[in-house]
Amino acid sequence: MEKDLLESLLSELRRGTLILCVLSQLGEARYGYALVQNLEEKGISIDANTLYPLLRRLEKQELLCSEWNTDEAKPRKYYKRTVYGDTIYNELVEQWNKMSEGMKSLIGDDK
Amino acid sequence: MSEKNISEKDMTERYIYEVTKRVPQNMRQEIKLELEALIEDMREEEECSVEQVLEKLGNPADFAKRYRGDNNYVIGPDYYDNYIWILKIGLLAIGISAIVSGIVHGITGAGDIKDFLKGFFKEGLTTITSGACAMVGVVTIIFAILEHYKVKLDIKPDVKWSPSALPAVPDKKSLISRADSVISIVIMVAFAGVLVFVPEVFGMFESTDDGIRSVGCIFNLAEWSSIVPIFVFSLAVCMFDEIIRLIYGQYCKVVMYSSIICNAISVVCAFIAFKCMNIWNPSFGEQLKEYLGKTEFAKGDILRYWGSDLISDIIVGIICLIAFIEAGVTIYKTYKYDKR
Repeated sequence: MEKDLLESLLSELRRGTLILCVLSQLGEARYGYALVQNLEEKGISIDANTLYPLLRRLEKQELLCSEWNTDEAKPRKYYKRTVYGDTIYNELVEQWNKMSEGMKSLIGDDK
Repeated sequence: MSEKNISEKDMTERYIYEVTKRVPQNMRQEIKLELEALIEDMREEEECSVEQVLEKLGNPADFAKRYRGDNNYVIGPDYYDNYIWILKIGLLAIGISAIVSGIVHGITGAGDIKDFLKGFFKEGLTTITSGACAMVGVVTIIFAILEHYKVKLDIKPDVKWSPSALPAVPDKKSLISRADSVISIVIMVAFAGVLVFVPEVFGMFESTDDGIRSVGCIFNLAEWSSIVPIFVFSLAVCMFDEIIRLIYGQYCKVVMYSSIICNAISVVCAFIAFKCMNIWNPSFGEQLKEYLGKTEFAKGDILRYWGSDLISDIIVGIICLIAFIEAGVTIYKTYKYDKR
């Protein structure tokens, strides 16, 4: 029970940061699975069944644009931040920095 | 259903089909290509079987749901308030019609009071169960459709609010009891039913070996068909007033105006019915005398004045008094407690 609660609180916490994680890596064009691996390398794990729908949503919100690359054997859809996406991303980063400083002063010094 | 030895290609195809069949047509082809590449990439990179990849990707129905980006609501929070509101009104209407149809069926099959009650409860309960189920079903379907297509809807419009414009917390004394209103409505409907269908119950009965027999009715049944619409209209107006009270739930200007107008209409109706029409059975006094074996009623006995204007005057007076008190109390409470 306690484990379930912790699990759901953690996933809620992650959910809030997910968009920022994804936007941060899409300054250059990447396809879905490459992005999963890319984030994993940096210690952020995200399931493909969460990421793929999220990419589509961000594209619909015009934060990302996409292009199919059919040059290789497997056709892949590459996503990249749009100019609008850049603006929003920078704004989010700024807010994140403020927030994490605030959080640090709240819980960071307790140790 | 489960087959062993499905080829990895088949398994991939089936999985993708299970996802894509649940997403809108225009997304299907792209999602199909995307998932094919994803499954292939995962299989290669993570060096595992297709089955393991698919297990990692999870239930295709959940995956599709994320693609659709919808939620689990049939009726979401945006619609919930209006939904409940409509349901309440609907149930009230069903309740009223159940009582009416109960009365109608009770009367049409009535030999005595037992038959009446049997018919009343049988028909009333049938109407209430089937009516309530149908109403809840239809309303739910309509709202589910609205939710699905995200139709903008505001049945109870919210006035733009600001903290300074918040209404004062109502004084407890300013609240109108919902139970009172509901009871009033039920009584009025039942009363209207009796007046329309069995006015003869307002009279004198005797118990004989064959059952109950009417000795005489106080109303002039010969002209009843032209008198009863006035009563029904008057009760309908009173019912409208009670519904307004039920909706607003507290004393306010709307409730006050409704009360004044409706009570005024009732008084006019009472005046027309009792003073301008031959509402009383002119021979009731004689019928009663015959039954009681009397030649004359004693002094002070109200029946002595049967046929004179006295009884009508008293009743009209009582109705005026009640209307006056009710409207007066409403006006007083509105001015005292309505701070909006």
